[in-house]
Amino acid sequence: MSATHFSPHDVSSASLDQEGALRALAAKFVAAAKELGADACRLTLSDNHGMSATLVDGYVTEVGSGRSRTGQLEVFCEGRAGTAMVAGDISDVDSIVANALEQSRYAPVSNVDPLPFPESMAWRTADSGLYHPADMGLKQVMERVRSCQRAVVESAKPEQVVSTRSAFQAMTTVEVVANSLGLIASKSATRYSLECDAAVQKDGEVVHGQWQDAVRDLSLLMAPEALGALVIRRIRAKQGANKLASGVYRAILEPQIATMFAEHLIAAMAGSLVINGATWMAGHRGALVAAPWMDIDEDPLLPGGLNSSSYDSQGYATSPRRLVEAGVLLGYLHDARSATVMGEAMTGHSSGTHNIFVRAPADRLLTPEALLARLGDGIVIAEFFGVGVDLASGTFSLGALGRRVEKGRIVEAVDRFMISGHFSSLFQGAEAMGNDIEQRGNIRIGSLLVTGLVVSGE
Amino acid sequence: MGIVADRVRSSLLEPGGLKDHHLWLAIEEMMRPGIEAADVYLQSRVASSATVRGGRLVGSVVLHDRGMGLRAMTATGDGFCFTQLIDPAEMARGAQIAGVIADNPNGERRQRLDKTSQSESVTGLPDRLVLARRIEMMAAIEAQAHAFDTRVVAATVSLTVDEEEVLLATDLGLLYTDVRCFSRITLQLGIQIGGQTYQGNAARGFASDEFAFLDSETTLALVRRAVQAAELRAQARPFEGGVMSVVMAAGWSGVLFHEAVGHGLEGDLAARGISPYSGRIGQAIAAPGCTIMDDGTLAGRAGTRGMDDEGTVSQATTLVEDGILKSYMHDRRSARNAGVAPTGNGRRQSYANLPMPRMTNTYLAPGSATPADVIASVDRGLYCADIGSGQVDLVSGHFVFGSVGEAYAIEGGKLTYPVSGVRLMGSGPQVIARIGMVANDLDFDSGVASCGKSTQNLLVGVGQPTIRIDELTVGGNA
Repeated sequence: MSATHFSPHDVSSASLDQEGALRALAAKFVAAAKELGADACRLTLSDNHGMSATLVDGYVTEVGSGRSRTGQLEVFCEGRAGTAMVAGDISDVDSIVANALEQSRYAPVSNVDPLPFPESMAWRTADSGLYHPADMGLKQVMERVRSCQRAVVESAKPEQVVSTRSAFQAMTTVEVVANSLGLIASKSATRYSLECDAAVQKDGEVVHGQWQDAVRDLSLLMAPEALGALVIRRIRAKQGANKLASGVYRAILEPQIATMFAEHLIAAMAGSLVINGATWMAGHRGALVAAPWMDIDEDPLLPGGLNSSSYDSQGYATSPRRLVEAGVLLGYLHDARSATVMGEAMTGHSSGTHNIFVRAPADRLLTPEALLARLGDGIVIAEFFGVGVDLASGTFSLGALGRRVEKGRIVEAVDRFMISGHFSSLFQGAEAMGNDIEQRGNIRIGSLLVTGLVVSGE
Repeated sequence: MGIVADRVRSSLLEPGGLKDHHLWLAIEEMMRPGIEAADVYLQSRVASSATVRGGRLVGSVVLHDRGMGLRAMTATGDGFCFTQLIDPAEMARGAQIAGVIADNPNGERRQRLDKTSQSESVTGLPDRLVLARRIEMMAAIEAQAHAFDTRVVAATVSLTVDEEEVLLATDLGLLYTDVRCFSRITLQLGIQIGGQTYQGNAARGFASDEFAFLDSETTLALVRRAVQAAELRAQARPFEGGVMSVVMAAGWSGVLFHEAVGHGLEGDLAARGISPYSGRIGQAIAAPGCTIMDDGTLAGRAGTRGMDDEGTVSQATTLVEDGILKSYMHDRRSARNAGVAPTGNGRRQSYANLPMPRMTNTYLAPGSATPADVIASVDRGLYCADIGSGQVDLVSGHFVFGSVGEAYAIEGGKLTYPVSGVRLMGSGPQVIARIGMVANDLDFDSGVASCGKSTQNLLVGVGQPTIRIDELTVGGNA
């Protein structure tokens, strides 16, 4: 990168050479671990280049670039396991191996195979179309964030924008997973994101709103003008909010809220939580955990998906699968340890899930307008805050804000209330889903019409 | 040259063939026309964690991280580059990239001060205990838990130790070195009561030199706290929520002020006009008698540093005095824009992050009542001994503390029974305006507080005496 251009060449430099160099380094680690006494080993290496620019109230507040390399090595020696992590100089192979071996000296002896399910490892990897380098100069980056801010100011008129911030980030990641069975899997990926927040004053009240988009291919990133205008629409929907009375409500969870709930529903399916008694989903295989009309699928190989990968962080192959059918949980999602402990097949979920699709049949998939009409009287949840989620009990308790609905029409903004309940009853009680499917992130789900949402108002 | 500076130089500069003059060259490169300030921040970090159960190590990991960040600051923004290669060529390249922010080629080129000064501090000394000794200590705590109460059926002890070496060079000619260390020990246990297992945990953080000399009395307090938490879970009853007086116990409850008030007093948010406290210096924002401090000099606290991450000497700053807003917390930029001196609050998570105004150790100052007086003043309400964790909307100041860890009903001025599953909700401006009583028992968290802002996590200290907040919304479950 030169001083006069932002970093176009850094971002597009994740070449086959770089991936090849990282694969060669991984092979060195495996050889060194064996030489220094390890019976087996497993490792991940990554090399990340990024650039970013931030504009606050028309001024550049941050522009720059960074590069980080990280590695994690697990060694297994006479039944003992040790782990070393490194950020920075990942080429000091002997020292990193020695650190991991030092950790293993004090570990308990285990007779469990450290690298089980070799047949399930990612001996072949697929190209999911994750690498889309873009040649961008500083000028183009700045124009993007400036356009976003102009759209905020224009869309807000005649109201006054107290402050606005927009930021663009580009990132290239090269990643390798390897083990002492000879596995070396790798991929290169790009990620571009644009985010914007603003605070608008109306009648003495300052209301804040934000939105963001992230993609693998820059040409698919939301237009900055559209993103800025959307931030203002979301702020307008929050202005003049009233309090909401405590009670039990029918509610529509907007797509980004439904996404959060679905994430926690799916996180509870992890075998690693089941074996530790840390999820309410334990013992629920074959039981109803969502509405009988709902299917939930996973497609790790989705072309260009933000969470696409043909292997997980332990090097096991991922594959498309159904997680929930007609509301019934089909099975748990395993890493190597939980699959071993539970005596089940490895599913390739050491690094969580990859591209989840919540599906509804045609008669349950409604337009946002039809969903509102079906809601009748109730609330729309548009934002939440707080961290009150307990996967062990399956309960949640979160601060929220949104809109009150009467006879299918939005009548006012509401805030300062808390929503609580159980994930299972929330999803089992879902009546219908919107066709406004959230395309960002890991979960594809539309607005969700749910019943029995407990609200504690102020 | 001091011992700390020698040690940090040999660790951060020498392996890559760097000398002091490379730092000053990089700063000269960044100080282009239009650049007001510049710094180079080098950091090496070793973070290790270990978990013991059944007297044996069940998990351990060690992370080695090192790199440098170079920053050029204009009146409005920062040019920044971070890298994990630490050598003269990379430093020169980073300085060029950071200098990209310079947007006024006709501006005056300000020179770095020729006179250099050096400063160093030790925030915590690494204990240098080998893993074997750490395992021994953790196993002893686990054994202590089983010996303390025969109902203890499972206990897990975890230890994290975070060691850092930092070197900062600034355009003011300052070369600052710091050796930092903080460790945290956590005990999780289950006790069996009536055929059911109830979980309890307790944690404590400290500078590692204290950890190395941890005595059995200190560890017993940890055990006692975890057992008590589990017992309370077993006894807790549902509680009917509503709007009521809430008494917050001294110490960790100060996190409520940190979240709901402190963030709004950080200079960057205040300058953007999006804090509820923007433009209110000199105005009453809190109840009379309410004084809030941020103090980066308190001995042994998690937010304490000799200097902040921009080279400003740590200080005690009065934020609110007797209800009147006196000052925001500033880094170099927000102080410049506000026309005041920096307050030593320019902090950063690592070399890969830019500094920003952050809290150090933030607390509500003590009053004159006794804690007993405060409880006795409430006819029906809630006593929060352990507030749990929460989140705040920085713009509105609205907060939710999702699951209060340990709480009791107050009836007729007395604590009557432990309650479960209650939550607190409100807003920062509302809470500080409704502080009805402040006791004299100021206390701090046990070294377990950390704070996230814009994806940067930092250790902080929080504190307060016992207080009564009137008309706070309590989410119940009865």
